[in-house]
Amino acid sequence: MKQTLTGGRAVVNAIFCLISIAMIIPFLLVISISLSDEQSLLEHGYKWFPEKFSTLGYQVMLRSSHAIVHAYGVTILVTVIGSLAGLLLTAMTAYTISRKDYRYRKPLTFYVFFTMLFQGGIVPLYILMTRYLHLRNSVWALVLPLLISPFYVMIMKGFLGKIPGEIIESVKVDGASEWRIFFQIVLPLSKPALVTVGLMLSFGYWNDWFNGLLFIDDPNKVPLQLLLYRNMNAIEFLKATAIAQHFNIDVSKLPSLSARMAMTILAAGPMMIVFPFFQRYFVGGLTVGAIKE
Amino acid sequence: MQWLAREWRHVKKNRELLLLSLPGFVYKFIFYYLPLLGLVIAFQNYNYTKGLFGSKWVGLHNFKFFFESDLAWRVTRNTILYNVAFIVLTTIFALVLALMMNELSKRWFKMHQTVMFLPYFLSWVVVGYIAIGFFDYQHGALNTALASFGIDPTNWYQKSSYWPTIMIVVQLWKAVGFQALIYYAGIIAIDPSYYEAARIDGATKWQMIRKITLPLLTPLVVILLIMAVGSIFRADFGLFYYVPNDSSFLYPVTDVIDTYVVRSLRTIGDVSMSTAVGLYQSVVGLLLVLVTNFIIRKINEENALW
Amino acid sequence: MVTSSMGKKMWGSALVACLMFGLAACGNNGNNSNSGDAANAANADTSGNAAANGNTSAGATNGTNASGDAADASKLEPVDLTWYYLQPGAQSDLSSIEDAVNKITQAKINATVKLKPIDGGEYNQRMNTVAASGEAYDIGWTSNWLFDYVGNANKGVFKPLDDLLDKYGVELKASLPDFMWEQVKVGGHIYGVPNYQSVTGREGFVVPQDIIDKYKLDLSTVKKFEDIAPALDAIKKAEPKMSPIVMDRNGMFGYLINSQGIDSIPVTSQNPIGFYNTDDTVKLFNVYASPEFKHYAEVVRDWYQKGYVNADAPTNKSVDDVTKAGQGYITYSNGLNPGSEVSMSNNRYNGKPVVFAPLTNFLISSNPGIATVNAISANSKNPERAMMFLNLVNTDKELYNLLSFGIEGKHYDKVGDNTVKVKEDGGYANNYPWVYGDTFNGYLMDGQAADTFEVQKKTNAEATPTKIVGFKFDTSSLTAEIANVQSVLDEYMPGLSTGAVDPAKKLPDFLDRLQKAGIDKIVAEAQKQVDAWKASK
Repeated sequence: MKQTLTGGRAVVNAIFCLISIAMIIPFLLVISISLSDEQSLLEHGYKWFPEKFSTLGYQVMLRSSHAIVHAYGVTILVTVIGSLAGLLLTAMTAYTISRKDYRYRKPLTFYVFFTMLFQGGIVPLYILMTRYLHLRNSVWALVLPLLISPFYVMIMKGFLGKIPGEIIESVKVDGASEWRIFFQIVLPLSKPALVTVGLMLSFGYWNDWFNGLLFIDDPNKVPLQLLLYRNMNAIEFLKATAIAQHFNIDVSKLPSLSARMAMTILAAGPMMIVFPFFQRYFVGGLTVGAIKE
Repeated sequence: MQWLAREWRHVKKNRELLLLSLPGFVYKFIFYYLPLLGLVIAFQNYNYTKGLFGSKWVGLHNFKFFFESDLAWRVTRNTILYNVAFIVLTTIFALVLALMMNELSKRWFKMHQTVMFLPYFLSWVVVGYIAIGFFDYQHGALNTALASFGIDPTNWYQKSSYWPTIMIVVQLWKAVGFQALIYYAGIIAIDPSYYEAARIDGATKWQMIRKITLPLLTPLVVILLIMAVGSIFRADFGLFYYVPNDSSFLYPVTDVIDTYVVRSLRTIGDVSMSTAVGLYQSVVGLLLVLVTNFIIRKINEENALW
Repeated sequence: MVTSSMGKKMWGSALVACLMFGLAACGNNGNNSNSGDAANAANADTSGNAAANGNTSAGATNGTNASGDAADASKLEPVDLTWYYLQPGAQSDLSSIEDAVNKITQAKINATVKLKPIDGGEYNQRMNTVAASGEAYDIGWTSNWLFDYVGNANKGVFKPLDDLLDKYGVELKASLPDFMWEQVKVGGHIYGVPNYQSVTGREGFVVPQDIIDKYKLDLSTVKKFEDIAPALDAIKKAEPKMSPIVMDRNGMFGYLINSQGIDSIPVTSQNPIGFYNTDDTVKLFNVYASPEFKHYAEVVRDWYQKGYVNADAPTNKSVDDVTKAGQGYITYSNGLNPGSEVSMSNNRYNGKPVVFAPLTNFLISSNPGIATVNAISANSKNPERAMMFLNLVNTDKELYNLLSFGIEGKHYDKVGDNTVKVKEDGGYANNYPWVYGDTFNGYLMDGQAADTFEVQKKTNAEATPTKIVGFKFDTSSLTAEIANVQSVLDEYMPGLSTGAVDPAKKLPDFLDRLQKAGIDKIVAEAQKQVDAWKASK
């Protein structure tokens, strides 16, 4: 028995190594391009190791260090506020619709689900945010639009639905309020779920640039992804428009490919470092059984 | 009146849970339901100065361009076939990976899981460039490899027959890691005492997976499935636009509703027309979800979403 | 399938959909909602609007020259204007520009201006949202290649300026040739102030000097596009691995269309309708069904098979990348203007010298004057002051140069009488002087010849205008047909116009699909409009 198990493990490990290589190789390409000289990329194509080393891509993306520091600050703030608030609201909503004895659970589920299928679009949102809520240039304009995603509510519901009804019943008999049950029993029991959804929320906030594009004019409140996106765009735009020739703009010295890859690394880097810290919740997270003892 | 009174009693009984769900309800109303008013422009010839209530109503005119086009069938077919393939394959691969992850030793687990997240951080634009790294005529990795065997280079972006496979592989590569994580979180939340009992009964690993893990994961799988069905008429624009490099030779097998609409409307930029197609996608999605949920309820009421 | 892509997928389609909210939004200002017809609203509104905004303004009552007169300015109620315009990247020292601009504007028209620059990549998205939401901004930059001027004028986004110009823009109106004002007319009304600049184009080939020397090429014999073939052949024979001519997925046809005797009307990305440029009756036809296109497709097919054209041409996105990588030589352009050799050589050939082989004279296409325009929003609360401001920008050289180049010593240095060198790290190096106003009022950039403006003005005056110069095609009744024609063009043109597919097989298919997509209806409607436009001349 034990032998087959270790044999199985070896096979599993081997499979995962193959998968990991498949995942990592394209990523190495990104790193290599980000550190390559633009001209050598044009002449020799993309290589897994830089043909001719250059950090110009990073220099272009980081050219205004002051703005970059600001942007990291804004993005971290928005990610922290948004993920925490979003997680709480998502869990609250998901918990109620996972309770089989909640009378309005089906209509509410549909009500939330519906917003995944139909979207009003950008302009109504723009009017709502700028004209009625007066949130132009506010970090709340970056937080609010992504706060509760129907997708995460449904996933959370899938997790919370697994909490045995008996546990809740038994505490209810003891006279605990729903709020206490939610905060003191349900949340502690659902750490893996909370971490999963929290991670997805924080990735969403971290990667968002579109709300910044719509609602932020103030250069000090531009989130990281938007700043990088803008630096990138400035290059691409100059290169792509035939207008550049018409107006005598010299675009030859702008590194667009290496800059784009540098942008990817700069944007993803911090999250890649943060991610492993959350992993312990996946490995040794509290389980239902552990609490029941 | 009696009905109202009875309902009021129910409300009072569910008071605390109602309060718990209220913030979510209000949020959704303000940020999603109010803006839905904007959808009426699908039936209007929208004029910016006349606004939503002043613009001329044109009935189904804005839907005309899509349904009259001889490409409507082709892009609809591509959209559905790819999405079905994605749903089935991603679910299977992610489940298998999640189950295997559970067998990994902890040291390796961390490394593998981090690595499997890597593709998630790449935008489709960047993935498009990586694809060029492989398929480029002059310098692509594939043609370089072929050349070392003395085989003539292939113009990959002009050969449509390879692309359904390529698209599916790329999508799996990008999406599986993340979905596996969701399933894995579902697996570790399963009460270990079930396994304890099974082990005492002498069950094998495989039996435990089949009799304990999979049944307990089913609700989660069903939820993800229903959500995927809801957007089966929508394709991921980034995947289908950037990965095939918008090559005209590949349109027959890679053009989907979303890329088709963006390309066709880019010169006229008519918001009413794009809204119309979006609305059509939403309505079909809604119908499919309702049917799917109905079928699931017939099979097992527990697993249905509502 | 699901997870992360879901959210993006939704945003993606939302991006495309870009819906509108409505009356609340667009009617709020009250100016336009009652009259409905924005075109007539403006003159009636100017005085009423001023009163409504509490303007005691002497300037508003008698439409005299409002700018440059400090005495007048003090009588004007102070107002704050908003100006959305195009700017590449973030300029860290924008605030000091804004302060300096406001010093001038406060003294002259008692107004302050909030500068709101937007990046090129975001411009369409952002301005379409702003316009659709009915936001009350004052001035917005627009063009025929970004945030479409004609389409938006038709949708009611801009205020008609005819009367405002006569009252508050007298100097401005007089400063531009009439031809430019004709260019910005949509349905008989002026909706924007064009930024005057070089408006010509010229079609032909761009050939690197070293190739000419190496193969002793005689470009004087190149009169038609096919005349370049012997040169291509010579290069191919000597350097079989090279692409003698480099194309991207658009091919050459559209760029060299005038040299083949055809003038086209802008409708889709690859203009499908045109007329023979010698035909005074301007009889329109589907250019892809013409013998000229068939001939072109056959010639480039031959070239492609002989290896003259880069093999990845039909999927290639950038001619420049191929030539810069040193994998090809000759290219083509329709912008062979005086002085553009330098930028062409930098952008395409890593600075190696190039020679132009023009196939046409200098031309003026139907609407070069709307390549860069500033318009006043239909929702502006202070349209008169906005007009005074535009008048000032276009006539006050100090203000114009401040916006274009920044502050002397800080953002640029003077290197000649009228020539400046921009400091790359000065915090304001925006490179887009043509966004703000009349470029001929500005400084020259280091490297431009001292007589650049004179030559450009002379070329503008001497160039051959197309027979439909100033005509604008109102496509609002043809949206379905244009969308469908666009998708057919997207599918067939890359192959046909680069020679990658055989026209004998694909051209009939292509024409058949164009037919089904409704090309004839577009031709008929365009003909109707052209005839009406000609009759009105």
